[in-house]
Amino acid sequence: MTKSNHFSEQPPETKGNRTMKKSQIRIWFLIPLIIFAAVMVMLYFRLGQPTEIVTNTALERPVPAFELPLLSDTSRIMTNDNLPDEPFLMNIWGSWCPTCVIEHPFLMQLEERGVNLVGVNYKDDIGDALGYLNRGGDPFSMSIQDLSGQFALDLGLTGAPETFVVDGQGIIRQHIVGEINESNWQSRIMPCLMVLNEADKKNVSPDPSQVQEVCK
Amino acid sequence: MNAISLKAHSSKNMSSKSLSAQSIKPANFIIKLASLMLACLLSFILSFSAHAAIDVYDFDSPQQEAQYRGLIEELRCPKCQNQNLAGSDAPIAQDLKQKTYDMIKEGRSDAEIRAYMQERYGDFITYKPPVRPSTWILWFFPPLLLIVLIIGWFWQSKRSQRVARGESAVNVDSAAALSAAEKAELDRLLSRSNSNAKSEAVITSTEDKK
Repeated sequence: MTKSNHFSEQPPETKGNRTMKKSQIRIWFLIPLIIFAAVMVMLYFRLGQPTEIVTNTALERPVPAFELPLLSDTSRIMTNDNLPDEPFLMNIWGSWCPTCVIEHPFLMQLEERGVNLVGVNYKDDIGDALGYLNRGGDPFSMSIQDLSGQFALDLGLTGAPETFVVDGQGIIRQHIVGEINESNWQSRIMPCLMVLNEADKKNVSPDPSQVQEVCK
Repeated sequence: MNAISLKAHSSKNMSSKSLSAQSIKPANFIIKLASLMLACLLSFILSFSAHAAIDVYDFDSPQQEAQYRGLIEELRCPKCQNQNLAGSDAPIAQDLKQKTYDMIKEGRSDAEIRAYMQERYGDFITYKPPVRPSTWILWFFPPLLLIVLIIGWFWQSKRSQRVARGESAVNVDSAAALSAAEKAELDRLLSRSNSNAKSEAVITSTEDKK
């Protein structure tokens, strides 16, 4: 009795088990394909996107405290109090830096257009730096000398040239890594500077959401 | 004298000495001596050329040196991304190495130096990101996945064992939960299927005989 009972139960069960195993195997074979397709989709959407990671820790913070000599007269020590009260661009440059040389004529143009530029001469020989300004012209309302690179480190600099847009209250609002030229001036820097200028004229701090939008 | 290069060349001297000491025989003693001197000379030249290529830092203790090496391995160069400070020669990497060195000389801890760098360059600066809610997925997803996979594999193998032994959990449970009327119905069906099975068995056996 028990023997025949067992006999009758066994065949349908093993049969069901086998079909389940077959469909399971089919799914296991599909998994690599699905993963592959997902990776392809992900890579496709990353195509042409910038791969450089820009660190923007200086943003929305005041210009770091500094006590550095003036480049044109190193006996005079400049501090944060000597920075302009209106929005300005702070450009970190060095005569040794090839991109700075390329950028320089555009900085001269900006000065002609009435943009206030403050230079930070970054880890440079003072003779080379003054020679560079004599040859190419001096677009800066003042240049401070950062011989050790400590001030640049506090700014979170990754190299020269870099430019920071600072508002009337001395808070950094935009950080441009690399050269500035007509195209990023038109698309990024000028809109930001205009918002900051407007806020400065009304003597209020700029609207954070607006800054977020134009100065990103 | 720089601690790094001193260590390197003293170990070279030791190894060349011990090598030649093993196999000194009177006949070729002079040759051995000459090769030993040559090896010494070579290691001197090598250590000096290495000396010129790397940054030279003086440390007060081996602990400080180890701390410095650990940090420049861990910290990332902000300019030449995907390189650490140890592997980078970019000006900013040199500055950061110098800063790391200065802070170690001041007796600052690893945590203080990391905090200093992170304040300026963000989480990006270190290859070992801090543990916080936004980085939980980074830290805890891989081990969690591993645990889930192990549990799943365990469960699966246990189930297949049970199936192989022929005892199905579903049958046992449903049999226990049957009411008296259902039991009677089940008995009736089973006895019928048994008789069917018997007749089937008879048929197959007759087929086998053919």
